[in-house]
Amino acid sequence: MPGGGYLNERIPGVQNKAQDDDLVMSLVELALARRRDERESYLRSACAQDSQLLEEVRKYVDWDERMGGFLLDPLYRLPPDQQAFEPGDLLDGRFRIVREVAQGGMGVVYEAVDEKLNCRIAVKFAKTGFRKRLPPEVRHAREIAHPNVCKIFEINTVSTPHGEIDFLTMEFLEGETLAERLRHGPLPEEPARTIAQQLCSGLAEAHRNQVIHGDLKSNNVILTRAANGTIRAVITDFGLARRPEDTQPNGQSAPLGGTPDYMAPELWKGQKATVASDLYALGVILYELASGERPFLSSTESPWEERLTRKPPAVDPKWAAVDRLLDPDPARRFHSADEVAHALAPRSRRWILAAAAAVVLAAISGIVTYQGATAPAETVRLALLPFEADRGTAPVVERLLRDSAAQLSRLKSTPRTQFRIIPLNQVLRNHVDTNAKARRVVGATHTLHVTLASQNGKILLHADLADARSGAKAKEWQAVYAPAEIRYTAAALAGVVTLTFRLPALAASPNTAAQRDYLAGVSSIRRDSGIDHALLSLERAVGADPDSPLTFAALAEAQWFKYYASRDRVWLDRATESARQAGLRNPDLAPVHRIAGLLLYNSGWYEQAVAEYSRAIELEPGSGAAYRRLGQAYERNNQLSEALAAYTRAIAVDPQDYRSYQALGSFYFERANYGEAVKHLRKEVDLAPEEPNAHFALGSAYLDLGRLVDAETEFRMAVHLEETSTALERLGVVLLYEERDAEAVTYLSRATALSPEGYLPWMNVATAYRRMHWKAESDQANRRALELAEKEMTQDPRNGKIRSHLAYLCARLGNARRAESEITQALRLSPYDSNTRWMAAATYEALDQRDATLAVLSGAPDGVIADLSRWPDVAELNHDPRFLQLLASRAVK
Amino acid sequence: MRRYLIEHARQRPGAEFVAPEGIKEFPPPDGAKLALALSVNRLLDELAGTHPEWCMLVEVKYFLGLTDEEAAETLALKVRTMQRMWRDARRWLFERTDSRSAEQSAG
Repeated sequence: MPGGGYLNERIPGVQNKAQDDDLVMSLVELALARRRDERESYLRSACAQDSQLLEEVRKYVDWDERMGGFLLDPLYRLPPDQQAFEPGDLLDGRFRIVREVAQGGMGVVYEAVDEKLNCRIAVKFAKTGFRKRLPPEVRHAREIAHPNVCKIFEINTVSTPHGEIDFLTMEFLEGETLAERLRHGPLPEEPARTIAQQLCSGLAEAHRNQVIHGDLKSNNVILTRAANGTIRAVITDFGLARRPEDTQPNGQSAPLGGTPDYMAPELWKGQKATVASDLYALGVILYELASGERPFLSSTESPWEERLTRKPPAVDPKWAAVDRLLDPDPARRFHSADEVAHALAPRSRRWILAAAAAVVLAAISGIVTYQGATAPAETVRLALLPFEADRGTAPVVERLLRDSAAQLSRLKSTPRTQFRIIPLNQVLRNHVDTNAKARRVVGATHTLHVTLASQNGKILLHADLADARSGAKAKEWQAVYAPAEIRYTAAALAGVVTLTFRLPALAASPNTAAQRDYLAGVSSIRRDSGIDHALLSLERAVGADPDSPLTFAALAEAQWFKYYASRDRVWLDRATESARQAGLRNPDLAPVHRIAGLLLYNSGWYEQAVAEYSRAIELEPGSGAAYRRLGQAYERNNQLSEALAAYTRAIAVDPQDYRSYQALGSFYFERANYGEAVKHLRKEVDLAPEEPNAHFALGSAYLDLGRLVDAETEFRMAVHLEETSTALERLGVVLLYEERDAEAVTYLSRATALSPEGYLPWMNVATAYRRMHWKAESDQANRRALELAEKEMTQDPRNGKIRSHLAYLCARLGNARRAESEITQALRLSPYDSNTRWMAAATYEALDQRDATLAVLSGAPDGVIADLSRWPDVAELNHDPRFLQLLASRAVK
Repeated sequence: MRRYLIEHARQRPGAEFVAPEGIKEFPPPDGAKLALALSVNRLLDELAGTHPEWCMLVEVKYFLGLTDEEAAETLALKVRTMQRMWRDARRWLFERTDSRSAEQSAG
């Protein structure tokens, strides 16, 4: 029967299924959940072909029927833990309870304020007496960062008189559940499709992180709404699924693991939740979205055999993917939620998405797919299979194979992973050329399979590192080599192997001729003012040792900083090319990962950037820069606690690196915690008084604190040290606050002249002109700013801050509709960024939508509200009693 | 611990054991419940000789009313293993408990 195959598989470690407690108890529970007269037939199909198992399960079911509630009512029961919290309670010295929001099957949810990061969050406790400890899966769920998955920030513990209780802090979501929404009738086509896509995308990300939901249902999807009504569907309770072994306070077994209407047939047979069973549940939700109804009648009315063996009636052909998701045989469903999204998406968009992703990732890192972190194998016996070559590459292939084997034989084990390369001669002598032969004949656990193909005068290398048993790819890597560069492949392949198994990287240092310039360059990069000097040194170093991955990686970094300061695309292209060159020579060295991380981060690939930095840290734990950048990637991805931890670590490992204080200061600055921001930024100025950037950052904090005189001093100092566009622009803005508009124009125009490609000076000079009633000049500057901001946005589309500026410019130029749509997206992309909120308020003011302004500000940090009250351009706000009330309420706190 | 609970159930506060937190607030059980507890208590002395781990399990599940998860944690067992053992132990006791109190408890 379909799906019945499960019981015929062998379960590792258990000889006899009748002895498998998990299986036997699951089946007993599932049988007992059926009506009494259905139990026998259920057991017969669930235990098909295993009479021993059937006998054992039946014994328990029979005895359960005879014993009834015998001993289930205990003599005494320890009192349930009291964990009700009151509004105003402070947990862990940090989370202030605002109100209770919901009581659900899994626990109690409170709205709270994180007083450290100054943002609204939700706090969730396991239900009283139900469970004090959260399941371990939650720890993995915390790793998921995706707009369609409710973000878990931290797992905390609070001490109560009854012991320690775990609680979760997570993103606060306001809205109804999808189940509630569906009770009002089916959804229109368009929002239903949007929700479907979003659910696929969120679920796919969770599965990439090895997190199974286990209890996916429309009740666990919250529909939140942005200001303009755009839907954001968010899956909640990842990793919190009630597992079958959970119990109710009375000691009775809880209902099944999962909610019957969403349970895949294999779960009814006692199998554990998997990606496939999550996809079945997704199918049920999509069915509801498509038709407004559940696929089967409620579980009490429709016979269970029907669900186990049949698909439900088909829905609208536009939702054909649903049919395949609800296949009773897990093997015939889609393999991932990405595939489902793909099948649901209109064709043109499919292509664009796939192409864009492949190009960016492969160009920078060579890694074709970023897999979630998997536990590295304990013992690796790697077989390097003979290379596959075409006519163009055949002459070099023999030599490359030998070189690669030689490089691989130099790799070292770690305490975690025993690594051995199977001698090449042994592989060749036995004609081992497939996974199966590698496993059987030479006892390999893994194989490395390399294909070389000539293409337009270049050589395309594709490497697959696979598990020899399952054939599953552990890593897929590709690179394009010029003929002269092909000799680097041996070391590069060794890098792919060290990366996959997290082994120590091959030693690499530039040759003696390059040594001096390399070291001088690397040390100059540590200072913003040293970048030009670093570029010169490192170009010389690359000239002296063009074979070294390190010289290229360091040059790429210098070029990236040059791009960062100048915003000139040419430098970004150069940095990308140098990084690629470094990766061709060895993709698994700390500096190579650091630059790959920067480039990925800069294009919005935050999760991938995190993966790069994490490996960089693993290889070189003493690098403050890697921790700092890891923090920046987390921060941009709204993983604030992770960001904070990374910045703190950056300072701990390299306390002399002033940039880490700047990063930490800016972090607090962005969260409008100006007191902490100033503390760290002053430390930065102390460490690097000659760095204009340090004064610049401190000046920015003063500006937002309303300390205009101090801000002006710092910005003037920065301009004095180096007249950069950004420093001039900020000085201009201070003068705008001080209503010295004419003076402001002087500095802001100088800023636009110095850096005609940056949009901020244009945007601010437009404000100054407008205030001086120079309308034509103002419009012209705004148009220029819009053009430049759009260009920047195409490069970094997930940056909410840029988008908020874009929205503001649209508003100023009279394009209200686009302004509204952009600002909504900006707020969604960067919900915790105070700058984005500030701009959102300014945009709504420009659009004359006071209610929207106030709505945005009600959730804004105090500093943002105070700052707006000082900004002369929205002075009218100060006459609105509602704003004054808001301001006063925040000032009191 | 079990002895304390039995003494408490029989309204004999003299037991030399320290009361588990919260127990003092509970009134002693009625006659039928007490009779079942006393008979289980007697059987456990016998069970301790052959299946000491079942015995401990009955103490925490029946005498103290721990949830499956708490009980599993206390005895360092997997929850499913604990559940199976609990069914086995209940059956062992059921077969040896006099039918009248068993019925009352099941009812």
